Amino acid sequence: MKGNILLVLIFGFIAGVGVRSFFNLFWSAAIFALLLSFLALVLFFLTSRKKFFLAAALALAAFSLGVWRYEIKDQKAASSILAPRINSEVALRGVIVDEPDERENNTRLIFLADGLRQNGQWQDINRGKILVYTERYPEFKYGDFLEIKGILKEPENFSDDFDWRAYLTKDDIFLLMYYPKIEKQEEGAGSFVKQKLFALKNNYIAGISRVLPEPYASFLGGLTIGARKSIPEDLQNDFRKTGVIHLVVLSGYNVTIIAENIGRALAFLPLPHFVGIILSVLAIFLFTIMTGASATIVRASIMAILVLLARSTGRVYEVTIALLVAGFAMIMHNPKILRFDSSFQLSFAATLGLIYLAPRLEKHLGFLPKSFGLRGYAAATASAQLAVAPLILYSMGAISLVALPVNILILMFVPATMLFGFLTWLAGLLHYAASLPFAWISWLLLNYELWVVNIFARLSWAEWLAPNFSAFSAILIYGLLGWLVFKPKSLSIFWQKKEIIPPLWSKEADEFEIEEIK
Amino acid sequence: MYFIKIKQNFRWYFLVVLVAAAFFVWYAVFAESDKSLTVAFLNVGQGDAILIDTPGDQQILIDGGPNRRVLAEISKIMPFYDRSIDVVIATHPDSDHIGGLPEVLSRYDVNFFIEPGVESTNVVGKELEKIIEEKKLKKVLARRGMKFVLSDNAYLLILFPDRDVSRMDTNDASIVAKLVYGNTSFLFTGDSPQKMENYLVSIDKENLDIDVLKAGHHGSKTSSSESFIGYASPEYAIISAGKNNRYGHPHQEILERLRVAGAVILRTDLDGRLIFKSDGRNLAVKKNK
Repeated sequence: MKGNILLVLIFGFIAGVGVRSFFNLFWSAAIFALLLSFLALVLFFLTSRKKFFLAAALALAAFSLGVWRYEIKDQKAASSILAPRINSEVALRGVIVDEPDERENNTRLIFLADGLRQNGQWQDINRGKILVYTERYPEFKYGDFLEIKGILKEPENFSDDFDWRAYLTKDDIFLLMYYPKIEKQEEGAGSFVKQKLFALKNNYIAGISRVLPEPYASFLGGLTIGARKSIPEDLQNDFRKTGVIHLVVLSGYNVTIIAENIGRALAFLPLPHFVGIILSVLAIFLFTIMTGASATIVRASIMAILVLLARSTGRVYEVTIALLVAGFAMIMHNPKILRFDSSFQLSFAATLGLIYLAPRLEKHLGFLPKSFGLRGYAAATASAQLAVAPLILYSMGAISLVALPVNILILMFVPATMLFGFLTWLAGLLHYAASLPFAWISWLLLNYELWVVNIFARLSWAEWLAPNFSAFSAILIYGLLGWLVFKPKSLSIFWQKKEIIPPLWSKEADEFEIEEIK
Repeated sequence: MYFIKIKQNFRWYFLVVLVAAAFFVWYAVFAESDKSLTVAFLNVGQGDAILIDTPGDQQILIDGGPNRRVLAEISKIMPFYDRSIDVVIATHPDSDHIGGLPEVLSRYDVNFFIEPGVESTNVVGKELEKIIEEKKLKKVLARRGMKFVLSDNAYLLILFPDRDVSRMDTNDASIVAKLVYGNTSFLFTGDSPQKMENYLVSIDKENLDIDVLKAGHHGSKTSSSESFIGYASPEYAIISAGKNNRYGHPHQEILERLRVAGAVILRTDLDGRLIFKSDGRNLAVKKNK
């Protein structure tokens, strides 16, 4: 019962945030929900404590909290000093607060302004984040203290199907500046830890790109630490077409998938079960650190560790509660991620898919051989793909029809590729020549992976376009999926009668199946 | 379930190692035993980048395109383990010719950096200067008459600039170079405009006849003068331009002029990467979309 109360509260809250992020309700809606909640509470006492009314009261109260939380976030706007200066030239000073996003033809900086120049004097301003576009050179880095001069702009949506403005406001970015005049004053402002992390990351990238040619080096960089350094655009298109773009884009989904595959690969090693789990958690932790521990990745890593726990303990119910609590905390922290952060959505959906769909799917994949864990890989990949498909259709307006085979063919080799990538770097720290054998093995693996992508991307029917796929259809499909999973009795022919979730990639899995057959 | 039973499966692991080793050895043997000249016009979008792989297995890169796309293109031509480019030539410091060079210089071992000696006006030029300084690269000013001997019967000859060009317009200062292997020859012109082409005709007609011409300035109307094309009489004319570029390169008039001169026109925007192979007598070209 305790768990149920928690669920009611969480779903009420998420519904509040969700409804508010689609419809512009006002404070009155929150107050109205609160009044209804009060009414339900009164009814609860009048009807000799019928539980339904208590649940309704709690859900409505949580709903109102959700609306209120979103409203607070939405109240944030451009700093009051900068807002009147939009479309005019200003001189600002401040710090680069995130890793520069280096694209093919420009670089994007997240600049936190803390001073505005007026009549030759620096006036303190209420710290406002500004997205700054600049040329590829000179290069800047996290923590650089800059003076910039340019025309302040407001982001405008450049296409109908992507709400760029909302996407930026999710991270409290309300202003931008195109190609301002930049003067670097100092380095090393910003957090010391982050500086070291980004330096480590850059060292890694430099290490692998010294011995590996492009696009292999940047593919490896994307694969291992989600490096933002650009991969050629046509190759990115091929990744998108074949449904593996998540491998190289620094997103939560990437973490979920990679953690899953590391876990599977470790299960092959002759290690005690719990050591394997600890190593997996450690690997996820290292990955998080190496990528610079951005909010997106931290969120996804928490979810990835939860999947790991679900898998290794089989305690699906407890882990689901934990997952929901984690999701609640994340949405509480930043309510806009529910609608505008596709990375959060994808990793959440993939996580649920891995926990709930994978074990069920695996039972229907009896025709695949078990050797090398092929069946497990197929089940995990298929369930993650299935779970994110409606979201991808909604957010991208297209879906890859070859994603399943391509993902299976590639993901099996991703842990090995990551391992050799890291070994290449570590050996390179000792000596250039020492890293060569590892680099060549990495190259062989990367070459295979890009070859698979290339073969499938050439198929004319690799991608299915559905530009008008609405959010409503996506929610509908998720409802259906949820019903299929949580109402097993009504479909007992198709799904297993009894809920048995084997710990998938442990050694016990084999024994488990034998028992089941008996 | 473990397949890492090293002792029991030793034979198999050994076999895998041997197969991998054999693969690498044969890969290297094939890559190194190629005694032909390769000239690849790389598909870098709106810009120029040409990679030459000489019969003696040296590499020369002429220009680096507008951005780092050149890196992936280079690795399509060079063997993956080769991390050195012997000579990098920047025909002139405009960003569609040197945009990718900072990345090239920081990733590959480069012996010589060759430039015309004209001052750059953009940020990439400054970055390039910085890297050359940091890496202590040997910088050479290209001057008419310089000859890079590549093998017994292959060389690269600089035709222009023949003077100090530091105060000139960057396009005017473009390095013009001729590559010869046996009976086959190529002419690379950077963004050299008509007046410079005509100047070359006036001082050096007999040297201009070649088989493959990289048409000047991405096929713009400002280059490829009639007399220059006439003396060059190319069998192939290469246009290095980006798809739907905002300058409208190449110009229709120039395409027509090249066609009339009897050249087969190949375009990186339509045909992709263009790879010429020469054995000193015959020339073959492969398109690579």
